Amino acid sequence: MSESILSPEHYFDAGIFRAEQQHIYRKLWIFAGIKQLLAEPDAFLTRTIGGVPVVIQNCGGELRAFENRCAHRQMPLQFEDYGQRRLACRYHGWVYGDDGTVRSIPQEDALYRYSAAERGQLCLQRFALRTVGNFVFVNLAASPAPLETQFTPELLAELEAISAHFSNDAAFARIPARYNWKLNWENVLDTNHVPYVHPRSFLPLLPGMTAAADAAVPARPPATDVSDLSFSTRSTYKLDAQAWHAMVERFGDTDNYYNFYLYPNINFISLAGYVFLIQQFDPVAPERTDVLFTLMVARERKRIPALPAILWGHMKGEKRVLDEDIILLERLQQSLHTQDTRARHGVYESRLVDSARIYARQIAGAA
Amino acid sequence: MSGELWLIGCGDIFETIAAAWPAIEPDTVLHVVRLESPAAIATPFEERLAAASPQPRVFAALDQSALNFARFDVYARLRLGGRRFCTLIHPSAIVDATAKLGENVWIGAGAVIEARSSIGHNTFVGTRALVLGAAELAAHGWVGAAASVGARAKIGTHCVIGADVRIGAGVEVGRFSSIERPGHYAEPIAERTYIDALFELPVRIYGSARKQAGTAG
Ligand code: FES
Ligand SMILES: [Fe+2]
Repeated sequence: MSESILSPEHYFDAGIFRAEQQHIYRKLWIFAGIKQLLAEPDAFLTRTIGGVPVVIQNCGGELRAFENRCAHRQMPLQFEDYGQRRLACRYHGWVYGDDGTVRSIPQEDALYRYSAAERGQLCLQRFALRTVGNFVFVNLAASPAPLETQFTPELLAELEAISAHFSNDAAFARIPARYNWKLNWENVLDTNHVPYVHPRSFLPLLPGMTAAADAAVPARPPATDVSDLSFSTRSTYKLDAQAWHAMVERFGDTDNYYNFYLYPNINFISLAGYVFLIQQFDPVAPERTDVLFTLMVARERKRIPALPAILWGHMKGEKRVLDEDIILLERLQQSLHTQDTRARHGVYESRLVDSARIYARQIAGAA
Repeated sequence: MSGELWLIGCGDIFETIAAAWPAIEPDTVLHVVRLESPAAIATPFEERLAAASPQPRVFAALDQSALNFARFDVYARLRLGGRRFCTLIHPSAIVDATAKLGENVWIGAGAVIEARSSIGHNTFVGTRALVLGAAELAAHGWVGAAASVGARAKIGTHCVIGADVRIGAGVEVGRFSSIERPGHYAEPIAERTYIDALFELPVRIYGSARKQAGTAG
């Protein structure tokens, strides 16, 4: 038995939350969205990462990440989660070029009278961006570590291969929850909750999933590096055949439940290569997390008229499963208090122990 | 109307229409083909209509499952088979003479369809729902019980306007959207938007601008 190195404060303390934002979310590569929704000129997506508003814009065919904040009086430039609109401010009409510099300012001479030097400084802060297949990652650090130090080449290759099968259309949901993001990360690492929390909704679809398999894991050496925290698994999935399955280019040819854990806050799953769900546990505040669902099917071989109904139907089903977790995790969050008792782990929870150890090292600023 | 009518479908809406017979058309003999479930349309049902008299009229009655695609599938298959459809109006509904109603349209008990409104093929309007002046409902839609669609509002194909939802005057709702959370909606709603009690915030589908999909007639 091992006591968690994380104290209750790690789940509600504002100072610790700020340290996470600084040393994890503004330092690591963070998933920001999916590329196939950004194919058109001026297509964009917005996110808040580590407390910083970010816009990713299709600039003449290239995806670029900027701070989503006008250089004039700091109005966000784009508002919607996904959309298509040139990079321009709604407040006083400043327009930005593809490099993030201010291209035009209405009535510039009459109203602003910037010197040439001042004018030259007006531009948006740009951030590093990498795509892995259809996954878009952003890094807010001034000098980001290579993506390959955060995820192994094998894992990156897997993500690239599977995401090549994403449909052009995706359903997106933002689900506010009242708990710390780490509770959800730990929850998805913990397969032993499935029989108790999802006995009817989810367990029947996963004949192969047992915590006993996880208990065998300690043979794996303890994680030492952040790249050890991200990995993939697969188990058997009980597929319910649907007519539309014949109309898509499935990933793989096996009825697998594909499960990817991308530290710090992504759980990406695929149901037999036909349905893909990216779940992200987006920290909003110490005790508030937005669970972001991006749901796709495999890309269409021929047009599926009912695709909106298929995506919406799956989205509802996945939300019902998530609600079974949320109801418990919100209770758990409410019960946390400063008295220093800690979680106790069994051998099957080695993934949680690894995450906590490296996380603690990171927020201490010793990444 | 006189003659025979074949009612095919399942679920509450199917039973509601069957139970309202013969008040709907007193001179028409009703035959019912009860499907086990919306999924039962995967197996052929046409032969169950084989005993029908030549050129019988048919009516597909299923609810709004899968953004009305369950009903659409039955409707489209019968249409492909050359069946003639009808429009069914509960005798207690009030339908203005200038309203345009498509085929396989159901107007429920106590519903009011005002002047110059139009209701596309295969769209169902529920009990005591209101479709106000010059509102336009596209094909394959659903308006739930006691819902209202304001004057000049425009509802796209395959939409679900849930029970007790009120769409304001002149508001446009894009196709394939489902508004199931009761309340008043005064702002336009983009296509493929889902407002549902299951989600605190609207869910959207983004991606390839799709040409009109899933419309027959
Ligand atoms: S804040 Fe953007 S133009 Fe003024
Ligand atoms: Fe769960």
